[in-house]
Amino acid sequence: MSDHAVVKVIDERGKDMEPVLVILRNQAAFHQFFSVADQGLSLDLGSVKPGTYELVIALANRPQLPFSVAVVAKRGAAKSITFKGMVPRCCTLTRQSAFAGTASSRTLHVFTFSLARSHHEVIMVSGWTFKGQKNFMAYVNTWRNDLYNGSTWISGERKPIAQEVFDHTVVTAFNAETGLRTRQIKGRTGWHTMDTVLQGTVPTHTGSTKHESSNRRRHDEDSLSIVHIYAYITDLGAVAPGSLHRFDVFSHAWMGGPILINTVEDPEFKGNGARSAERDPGDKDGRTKDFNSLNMPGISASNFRRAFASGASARIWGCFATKDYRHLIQAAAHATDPNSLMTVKLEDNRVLNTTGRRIEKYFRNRVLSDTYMAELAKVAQIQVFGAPPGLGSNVSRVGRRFYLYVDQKVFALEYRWYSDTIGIDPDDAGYILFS
Amino acid sequence: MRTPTLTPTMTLALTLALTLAITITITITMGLGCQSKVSDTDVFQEKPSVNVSTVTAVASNENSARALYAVAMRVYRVEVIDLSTREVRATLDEKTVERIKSSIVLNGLDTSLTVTSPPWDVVLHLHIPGRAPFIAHPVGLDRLRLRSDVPENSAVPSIDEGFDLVAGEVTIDFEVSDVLHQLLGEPSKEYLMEDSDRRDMIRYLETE
Repeated sequence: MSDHAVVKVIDERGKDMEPVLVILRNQAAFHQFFSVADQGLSLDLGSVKPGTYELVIALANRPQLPFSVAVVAKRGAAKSITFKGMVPRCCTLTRQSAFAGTASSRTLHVFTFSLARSHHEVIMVSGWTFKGQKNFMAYVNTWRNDLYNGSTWISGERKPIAQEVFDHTVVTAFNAETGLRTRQIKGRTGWHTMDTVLQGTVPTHTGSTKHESSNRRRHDEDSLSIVHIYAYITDLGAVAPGSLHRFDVFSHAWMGGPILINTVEDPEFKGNGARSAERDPGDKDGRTKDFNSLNMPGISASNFRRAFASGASARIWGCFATKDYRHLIQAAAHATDPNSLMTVKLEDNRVLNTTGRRIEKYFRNRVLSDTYMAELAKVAQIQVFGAPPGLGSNVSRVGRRFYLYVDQKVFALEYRWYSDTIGIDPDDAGYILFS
Repeated sequence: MRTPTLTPTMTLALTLALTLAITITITITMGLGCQSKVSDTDVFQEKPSVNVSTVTAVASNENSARALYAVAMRVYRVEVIDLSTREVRATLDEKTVERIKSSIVLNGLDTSLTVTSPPWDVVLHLHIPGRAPFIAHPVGLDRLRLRSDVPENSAVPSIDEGFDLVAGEVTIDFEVSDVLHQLLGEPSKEYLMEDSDRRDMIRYLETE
């Protein structure tokens, strides 16, 4: 009597897909599946020690897909294999026993995975909040569930949205507080965790931002950085072009881009520094300059772009609360004649002499086009949404769902100016399109 | 049908209730009127007084923003407290206090919380006669956050701990943060521009 794990993969039409490789692995062991006549890709569990494993399926034109499984010892020499945690909805696990005497009787543990012909993935990022509260994972999880359900409560009431997460979609979340990258796929209940991988060599240091030593450590240590996320996307573009359908960043943000950890660049990499166009290797946050040819040269830029599906989109959910921009918008919105000179008081108490028309041109030609969102849109050739310059994001809760949004009631004057003067209108959540 | 008669106790209670109602009506009317009297130039003409001393009052955020909203027009003094030294950094001038009061009444309670981290490590103590001062954190561009659970913690309350969003924040006039900026210096980076961008902005807007 023997037990065998068998793996079959079919596409959305029920046609067989041939894996390049199927393995069962953990830190101590590596077992490869081989094709057995009338049985398919199989592994005799007799030589597999009980324990937890990754069942890794490699198919052409997609990244390896690991699933969490456990091999369990049963009575006698019998063994069983099951999913660890939630059972993925994209897989049916059946057991088939054939009795033909003690020597040749066998039980087949058959995993039938139903995947799309092309790989389908979304990436979500949760920033560290650095001011004492917990991280942004609650917003990531809500949005992940909304994208699966095809509806959202972000405006306070249930509204349909395009379903962008399916049973076969890999949802990859980078958590800047823990430094971990976790990949999940929809479970029959909840979500099946495929793998969890530390980015860099150490977790994010979360000591107080009031201590310079902690800030320095965050900068110097090899912990999660936005560069890890770019590298992941670039690798995805190399093996599974056109597979990334969404990129959402839930974090604090400012005019310079999303703040994942709140690191400060060393002086030579700042605005007037000798190497200001380069990324500071110790910096962990997103920067507008990330997509220039120095930081994302040739092949990496093209694989980065290649990762995104046609029609893909990204959203930077954090704030764009630059006070001077809001001062300018308010002054322009109140101007009776857009060509008349007026004074605008800036953040540093300087008084600026300008006109409503110049403010409009400045926003059109400089502000909107020179943002993290606009640069990402250019390099990835996708639609990128973000908070309008000058406005901050808010947290809202609808039942047990948690959202970030920009309040269109509080910023009514500013939104009216964006609409009437620039011709930009927000979506339901208050974000605008930068591409 | 029996005609109701009022006992002396009932008469007294009714008189008190009517007096209270009239007082509230007058207060709200005055509050709405104050808004139109305050102009941008008023705020900047009168500098807030700087008065460094140690905090002595016991502050409280019972019922947080909801309670402040109910009694906002009775705020008579607002102190800026440094969270690290526990010292009173400044007392806001009367016009700024009026601006805070009237904008709270006009804008009401907010049903969401600001994501942007607080611009400074300070809290405002809003003094009301007959009660401990409210502790409010200036957050975002125009909000005051009042945490009833841990009043001196400026962080967005952890939303998975059942925090009452409706009682969390009130909106104040955007210009109040300009007054605080004059007092406290630069806010945190989320509110600021890089120097090079600022220079470009000024050049563009003054000459283009």
